This record gives sequence, C-alpha cells and structure tokens, in this order.
Amino acid sequence: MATPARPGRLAVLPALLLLAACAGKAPDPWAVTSLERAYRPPAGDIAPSGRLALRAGLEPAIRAMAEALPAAGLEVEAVDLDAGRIAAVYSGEAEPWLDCGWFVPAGAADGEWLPATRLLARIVPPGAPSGTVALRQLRLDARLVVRGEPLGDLVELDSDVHYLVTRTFDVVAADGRVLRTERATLVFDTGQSGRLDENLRCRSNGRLEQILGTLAG
Amino acid sequence: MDYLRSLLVTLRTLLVASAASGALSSSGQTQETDPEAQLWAEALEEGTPDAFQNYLDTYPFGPHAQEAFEAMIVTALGSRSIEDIEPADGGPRVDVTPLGDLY
Repeated sequence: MATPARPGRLAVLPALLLLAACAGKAPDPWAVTSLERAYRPPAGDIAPSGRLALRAGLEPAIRAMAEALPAAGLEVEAVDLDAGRIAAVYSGEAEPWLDCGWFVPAGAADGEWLPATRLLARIVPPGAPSGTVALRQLRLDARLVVRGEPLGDLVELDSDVHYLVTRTFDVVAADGRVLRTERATLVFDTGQSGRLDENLRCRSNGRLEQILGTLAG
Repeated sequence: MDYLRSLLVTLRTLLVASAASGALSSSGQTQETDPEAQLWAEALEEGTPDAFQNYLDTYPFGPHAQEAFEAMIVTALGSRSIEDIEPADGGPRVDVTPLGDLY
C-alpha cells in the first residue's frame, strides 16, 4: 500500500529539481570571467590634468603645440589661435597612454600576466571546441583639449583628455565564422578612473596629459 | 518588446524636445534659436556617426564637443557605453546616464 506524499515534501520537490538543474549547468566558457581567469587592477595615483607655463605669446605657443602634436600620434582636429585652444584626437592602441592592469587569459599558465591594454589577445579556454578561439581586442579613442591662457609674459597651457576604451570579444569558429561578439566602451576623463566590469579598470598613465611638457622640452 | 521600443522612442523625443527648447533664449521677449544647440539637437535626433562628426566639425570647442566625440565613437563601433567612473580623490562616485542607452 503506497504512502501518500506529504504536502511539505511536494513543496520541496520543485526547489530540489531547480537546484539540480543549476548544479548541472556548465559555466559559459566564453563569458568574460571565464576568458580572463585572473585580473589585477592598476595601482598608484591617478594622473592629474597637464599644466605647463611657457615664456611665449599665446598665438605662437598654440601654433607650436598644434604643429608638434602629430609627431606624438595625435591628429589635430581644430585650432583656435585667437582663443588659444587645440582639439586633437587619438585612435589606436591603449598601451602607450593607459594603465588598465593585468590579466591571465583562460588556458594560460599561472603567472602569465598580460597587460590589459594589449591590443589583441587570442584566448583558447579549456574545453573549447577544436579551432574555436576568442579574440580579445582593446582600443582607445581619446580627445585632447588644450587651453592656453596669457599670464603676464607667460602662457599657461592646460590639457584635459576624454578617454573611451572599447573592449571587444569575438568568438570565432575554425571556419572563420564569428559566433558571438561582446563589445562595451568605458568612458572617463583626466583625473578619473573608469571601470567596465570586475575585469577591466583603466586610468591614464599621465603621458597624454603631460604631452605638452614633452613636446616643449 | 513593442512596449520597450515605443518607450525608447518617447524618451528620445522628449530628449530632443528638451535639447531644442534649451536652444531658445530665455529673454522672454524674443526667442531666437541658438544654432549650436540646434545642431546638437539634430545630431541627437539623427544619432549617426556622421551627425556627431558634423557637430564636431562645426563646434570643435562647443559645450557638447566631448559628448559628440563619445557618441560618434560609440555609434560607429556599435558599442554600449559604460560610465562607471571614480574621481581621483576617492570621493563619491559620479553616476552618469550611459549615453549608449539613448540611441
């Protein structure tokens, strides 16, 4: 003779089934946290705005800076000699200008830290289908604005930068098909740090803010 | 899904209307359109990389220049923009509406 199930036991059954289903679900090998199995954020102080005093007139100082910026890899977008302003943009590798910490890719040995500013990293997580890889790309788009202000026989130049860091993961099959793309952009300005998620935190290394001093020197 | 889409359209319309109204002077007697604000409102409404580049070409030092640069990159890359920033002094975090959500 069968014993009727008690209502209490019936209520527990769906919860147990749900628990079993969750326990059996394999982690997503292409999630960011799976592709980057360890992350060490940048340390140290955040670079302040760039400031430089030159013994020159406003117009010659702005003109000289505008002429020198392309040598540092920046494209001058606009120059206003009367107001003493320059806008310049940069697009490309983040490594020269940012510190985004370090990460260990999935499938790499312990201690194989890569700079998170790395332009391109090829990641093969354990258990991935043969030939399928994740391509991690990081690019920087930055806009530098220089403002000049006459100060007696000097010109004081200030510079601030608007940073956009875009990280893209493309999961590519052996035949070249892109199976999945995840792309996100973090935004911050000079004097700040930006955080995309637990695996990416970026800050300026100060070189772009100090570029005026470098060019003047 | 349709509800979300119509909500986004409504929000965008409100945003553009708000930007356009900001373009009007508040003298109370004659209301003139500020061409800079008008162009920014148009760029927001169009929401394309070319529209934001056009704003930057016309007003490279305008009040929305950095926003236009950001919107141009985000729309061109088809990315979602995240602004989770911390000031250098370790003070309170600044909450900014992600620009990418507006398009």
